[in-house]
Amino acid sequence: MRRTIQPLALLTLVTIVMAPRALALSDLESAVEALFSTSCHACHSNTIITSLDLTQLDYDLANPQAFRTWAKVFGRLERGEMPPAGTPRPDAKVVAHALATMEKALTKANLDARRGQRTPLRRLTRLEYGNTLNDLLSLDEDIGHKLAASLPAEADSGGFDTVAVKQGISAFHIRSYLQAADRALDEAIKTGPRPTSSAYRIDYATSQYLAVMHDAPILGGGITKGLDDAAVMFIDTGSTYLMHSDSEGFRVTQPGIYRVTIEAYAYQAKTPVTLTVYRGNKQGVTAQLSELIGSFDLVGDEPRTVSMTTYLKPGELIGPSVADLEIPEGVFTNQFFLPDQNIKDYAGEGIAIKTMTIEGPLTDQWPPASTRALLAGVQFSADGEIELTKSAIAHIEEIVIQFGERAFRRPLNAEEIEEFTRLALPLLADERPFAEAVRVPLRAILSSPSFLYHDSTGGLLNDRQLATRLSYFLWRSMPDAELIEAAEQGQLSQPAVLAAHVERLLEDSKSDRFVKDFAGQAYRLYELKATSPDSSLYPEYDDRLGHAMQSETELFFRELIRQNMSIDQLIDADFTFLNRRLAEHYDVPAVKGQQMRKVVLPTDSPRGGLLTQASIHKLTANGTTTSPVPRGNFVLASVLGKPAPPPPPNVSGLEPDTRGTTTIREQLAAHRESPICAGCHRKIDPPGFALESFDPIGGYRERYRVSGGEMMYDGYMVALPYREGLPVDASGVTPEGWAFDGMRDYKDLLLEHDLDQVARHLTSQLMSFATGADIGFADRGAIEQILAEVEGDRYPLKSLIQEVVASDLFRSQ
Amino acid sequence: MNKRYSPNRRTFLRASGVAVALPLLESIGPRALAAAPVRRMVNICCTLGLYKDSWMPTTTGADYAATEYLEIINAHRDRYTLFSGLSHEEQTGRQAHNSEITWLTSTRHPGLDGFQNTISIDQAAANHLGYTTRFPSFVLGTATPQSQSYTDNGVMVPAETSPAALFKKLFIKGTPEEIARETQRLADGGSVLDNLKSQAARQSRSASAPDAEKLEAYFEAVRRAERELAEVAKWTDKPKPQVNEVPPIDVPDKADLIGRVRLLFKLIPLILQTDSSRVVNVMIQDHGVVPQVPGVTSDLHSLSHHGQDAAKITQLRTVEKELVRLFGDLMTELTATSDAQGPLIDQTAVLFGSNLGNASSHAAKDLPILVAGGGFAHGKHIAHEGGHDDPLCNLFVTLLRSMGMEVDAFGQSTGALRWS
Repeated sequence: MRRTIQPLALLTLVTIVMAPRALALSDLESAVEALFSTSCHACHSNTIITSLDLTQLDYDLANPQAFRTWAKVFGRLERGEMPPAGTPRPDAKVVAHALATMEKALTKANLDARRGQRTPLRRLTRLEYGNTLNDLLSLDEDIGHKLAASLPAEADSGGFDTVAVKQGISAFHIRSYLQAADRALDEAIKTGPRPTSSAYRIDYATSQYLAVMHDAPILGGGITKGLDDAAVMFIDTGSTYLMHSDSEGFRVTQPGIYRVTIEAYAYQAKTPVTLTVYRGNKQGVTAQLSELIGSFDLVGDEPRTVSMTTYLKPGELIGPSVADLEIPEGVFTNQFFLPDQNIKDYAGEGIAIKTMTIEGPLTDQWPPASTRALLAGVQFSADGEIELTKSAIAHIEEIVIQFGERAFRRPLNAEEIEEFTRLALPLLADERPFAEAVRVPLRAILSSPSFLYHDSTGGLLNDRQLATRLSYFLWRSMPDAELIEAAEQGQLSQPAVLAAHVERLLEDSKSDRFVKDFAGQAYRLYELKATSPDSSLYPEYDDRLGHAMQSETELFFRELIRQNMSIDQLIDADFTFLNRRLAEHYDVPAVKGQQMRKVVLPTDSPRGGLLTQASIHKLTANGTTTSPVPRGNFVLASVLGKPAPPPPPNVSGLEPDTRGTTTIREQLAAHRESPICAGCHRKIDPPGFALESFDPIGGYRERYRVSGGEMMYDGYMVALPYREGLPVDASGVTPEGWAFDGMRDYKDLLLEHDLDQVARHLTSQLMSFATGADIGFADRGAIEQILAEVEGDRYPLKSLIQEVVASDLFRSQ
Repeated sequence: MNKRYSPNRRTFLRASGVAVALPLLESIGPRALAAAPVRRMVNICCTLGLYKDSWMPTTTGADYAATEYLEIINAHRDRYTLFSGLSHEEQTGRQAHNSEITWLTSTRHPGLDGFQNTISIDQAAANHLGYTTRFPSFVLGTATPQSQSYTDNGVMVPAETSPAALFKKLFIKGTPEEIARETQRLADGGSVLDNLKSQAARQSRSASAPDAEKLEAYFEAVRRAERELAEVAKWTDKPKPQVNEVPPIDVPDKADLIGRVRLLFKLIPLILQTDSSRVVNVMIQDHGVVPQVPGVTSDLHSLSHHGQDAAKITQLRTVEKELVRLFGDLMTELTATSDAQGPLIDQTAVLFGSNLGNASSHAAKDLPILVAGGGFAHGKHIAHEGGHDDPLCNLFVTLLRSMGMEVDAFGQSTGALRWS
C-alpha cells in the first residue's frame, strides 16, 4: 500500500532541529538543585515523612515512572501547593527557573516518547467491536452485545479502554475474534425457506400446569392464585418455575426477533403496581430471569395490553414477574412458600395475568437485509436459496470488494482483494457450497488488522480517518453512509461540515452509546452494580432501582449535551430524570409510571447535579457502609481530575463499624491527626464529608442506619429491621479553609472556585476518550486553548465536544 | 545469576521492515516427560477473604493451635502448611477489590494510572507445560467469566463457570461428524491465520514506528494462535479419557454458592487424574446474592463488611466454614485418588487462600495462605513476623520451581521461600 510522507513526523523533526539545544540532563539537575536543597529536602530527602524522596529522583525522563513523578512534582510546584503553606517561601525567580526548565524537559520527553504520533494504531474495544458488527451486518443489538462479551475483557489500566497504548492483543484475542466472526456470520447469513412465523398464545386461566401449582401442597406451591380469567402473582421470586413460557409449552425453534404481548391487570391493588417481563434461560426446573425486557405500570383492575419485541434464541424463554407490590403490615410473604400454606386468602396486592402471546420470528424481508447486504450481487430464489449470476469466484471477489470497503472503512487495494478472494479457492476446488466458501474470506476480513484497528497513516487524519474517529467517538461504531460520503467528497475536513456532522451524530440515538460508555468509564457507572446493598439495612433496594439510578445519570448527562448546558449544571441543576421508583427514593412527589422523564426538582430537594445522584452514592459505597475516603477520592479523581496518590505502603483502610457507637467521621478524625495521613486527607475527606448525607443506595439521611440484629422465626433466621443510629455530620472545611455544611454548600464552593478545573478535567477526558490517547504533558496547551474558547459561556457541554472535534489533537493521529 | 521469569523471551527481529519472530525455544509439543515426575498446580482464591480470627492461628510451628476453620480440615494437618505475614506490596487499586486481579501476579497498584497486569503463576506454569496435556490450564469461576489468570501481556483469561460444559469438554466424545467439522473448521482457520499474518507483515513495512509495534504485537498474537490451534488439532483426533462419573448438572441459582463451589471442586480430581490438564485455578467470586446457607440472611460481600457487628460475623463464619469444609473434601479426594505415580496430592501443589487479609477494610496485608501437597514438608504454621510482610511471590517462586521450572524470580519476589 502506498503511504504518503507523514507531515507530523516532519514537523516533529523540524521542531527538534530548531530547538535551541537539546536539554542535557544536567540542565534539569542544575535548575532544580537550588530549589530542592533549600525548600524541599527537609521533608523529601527520605521516605519516612512522605513517600517522595527527591534525592532518589531519576533524571532520565524517558523512564515512564520517572516521568510521572516529575510531572507530579511540576504540577504541585506550579499550583503553589509545594512547599506547603506555613513554610518559608522559596525565591520566586528560583521557582520560575525550575518550572520553566522542567516544563521544557517534560514536554520534550513527552513528545520523544510519542515519536511523532499521539495515538498508535487503535484497536476496537469490545464494545466498539460489538457495535460495529451490529452496524456492519445489520444484526440485532443483543447479538452484538453477546459477541462483544465473548471477547477478552479490556484491561483495567486506569484510563479509558480506547487508549491505544494500553490496549492488549494476544493469541487469545485472535482465537476469540475468529470465533466471534463465525458466530456473527451464522447470524448474518440466513438462506433457505423463509421461517414460518407463528403466534403462541398462553391463556393463564386455563393453564393445566398452573391449575396444579395453585394448590400444590409442596414447597413453593400455592404462591399463585387462579381466577376465572387469569392467574395472579403476588411475589417477585427472582427466578421462576411458574409463569414462564417454557412451562406453558412454548419453545423457540428459530432464533430471531419475537413480539411479546401480555394482557394483565392490577389485583387487590390500592397503589400502582408494576408488571416486569424478563428474558431468561431455563436451568433445571427453574428459569433464571436474567434480562429485563420491559416494565409496565398497572393501575386499577382494567386490563392493560402491553407489547415489546426481543431477540430470542433456542433455549430461551419469557417470564413475567411483579414488582412494587404493597404487603400488608405483619405479613411475611415468604411463608406462602411453605407446603402447608396457600396464598388464596391473602389480601395484599398482586397482578392478574390473563394471557401472553409470543409471535415470531418476525421477518419483514427474506433472506433478511443482513444477508442481502453481505452477499452483494448474489440473487436469491423464491425459496431463499443462493443463485449465482456469474462464476463463484467472481461473486466472491465482488463481495470482498464491497464488504471489505465497509469493514475497513477505506477501499481495499488490489493486493488485498486478491489475497482475500484467494482464500475461497481451496473450498471451491473441493466443491464445497458457495455459502461455506464465501465465509472464509469474510472471516479473514473480520479478523484483519484493517478491521480491528483504526486506519493510520500518521500525521493529519485524512477525511476517511476523520470520519472513523468521529463516528467511534460519538456513536462508538463505524461511520454511516452519509459520513463516508462527506469524507469521500473531501468535505468532512471543512470546519462547518465537520461541525454539522457532530450535531447530526449527537442528535441520532446511536449517540446514547457514547453517553453510556463515556459515563460508564469517566464516572465509573459501569461499577454501579458491583455490590449489592445489604438487604437488612437497605431493604428498599432492588435491581429496578439500580437500573433507574443508572438511567438517571445517563439521561442527565445526555441532556446537558443535547441542550448545550453549562458545566455549572453538571455540578448543580434544578432538574433531573426520574421514574416513580426513583422519585419515591428521592422523595419527589407526583411522578407516576416506570418511564424515566425530566423532572424539575422541588426547591427544598437535596438533589440536583451529578454529586447528588444515587448512582454516584451507590458506586462509591460498599453496599453496607459509606466512607468519606473513597467518596472524596471520587470527587477528586472523576470530577476534578486531581486524584490523591494511593496510601503509603503498610497503611490499611479503616475498619468500618456499624454497631452504632462510633461514626466513620470519628474514626477518620484520629487518622487525620497523623501528619503522614493529613497531607492527603485534608483534600480527600472534605468532599466525602459533604456526601455523608447520602447512604449506600443514595437515600438522603440525617442519621446512620444501624443493624437491628436478627432472631429465629419459625425455624428460620430472620433479620430484624434496622434502627436509627448516630446523626450524620456533613460539614467540613476545604484545604483552602472554606467551611461548608452539607452538599448544597459544597456545590456552591465548587461552582465558585473549581469550575475551571471541572471543565479542564471533562475536556481532557473527552479528548482522551475521543482520540484514544491519554492527555500528555505536551497536550496541556491544546486543552487550555479549548477551554479559552468556551470559558465565556461557562463551558457548555456540546460546545466543548465541538471544540474537541475541531482541535488539532482530534484531527491528528 | 538471577534469572527472571521473562515471558516475552521471543523477541521480534525486524529485518528489512518485515516482522519475523524467532522460533519458540521452549515448551509446546511432546516433551520427554516420561522420566520426569508429573507436577501439578491448583490455586483457589476466596476473593472475599477469610475471617481472620477464625482462620489465622495465634501460635506458630508444628504445635500451632488449630483455629475454628482449621479444626474443620485438621484431619489433613500433616498435608499442608499455613503461612501468615505474606502479601504483595502496593495493592491499593482503583477499586477496593482490585487486589483480586493481582493475587496471582503481584503487579502493583491494580487499575490505577499506568497499570498493566503481568502473567499469573498459573499461566506461567501453563506456558511451561504447553499442550503436554489436552488443555494447558483450566480457569474456573463460580459466577462470572472474571478470573485471576492473566497472560504475559496482561490479558485476562476468562473463567469457565459451567461444570456441565467443562465435563463435556473434558470427557464427552464428539460424533464423527462433529470431529470432522471441528477439523475442517481448524483447517479453514489455518488459512485465515496465514492471511492475517501476511496482512500484518505487509502493513508494518510502511507503518510508523509506533504503529509497527502494534502490528508486530498483532502478528505475534496470530502466530501464537496458529501454533495453539495446531496443537489443538493434534488433540482433536485423540480419544478423550473415559471416567466413571455422571455428568454434572449445573446449579442454576447463583444463591447456591456452596453447591456451585462443590461442583467445580469435584471436577478437579477428575481433571488431574485423567491428566487432562495440570494447572487449575478456581476463583470463588462475589455472587451478589444471599447464599443459600441456613442461618444466613445477607450476601457474602455485605457480611465481609461486617463492621464488627457480631450477628454478621456469625453469619460470615457460617458461610466460610462451609467453604473451608468443601476445601477439606477436596483434600480428601486428592488424597484418596491416585494415578500411576501415587496419590494426586503428592504431585499437586494446592494454594488456598485469599487476596484480602481483612475484607472488612479491604486490606491486602497478612493474607490467609495455605499450601497443601506438592511434596513439600508440612504440618506447621510459618509466620513471617517483625511488623512487615514478606513477599508472597517468594512462595510463588517455590511453587513454580515445584512445577519443574527454573525460575529465580517472579513478580515482587526477593528469593524463594523455603521452610522445613
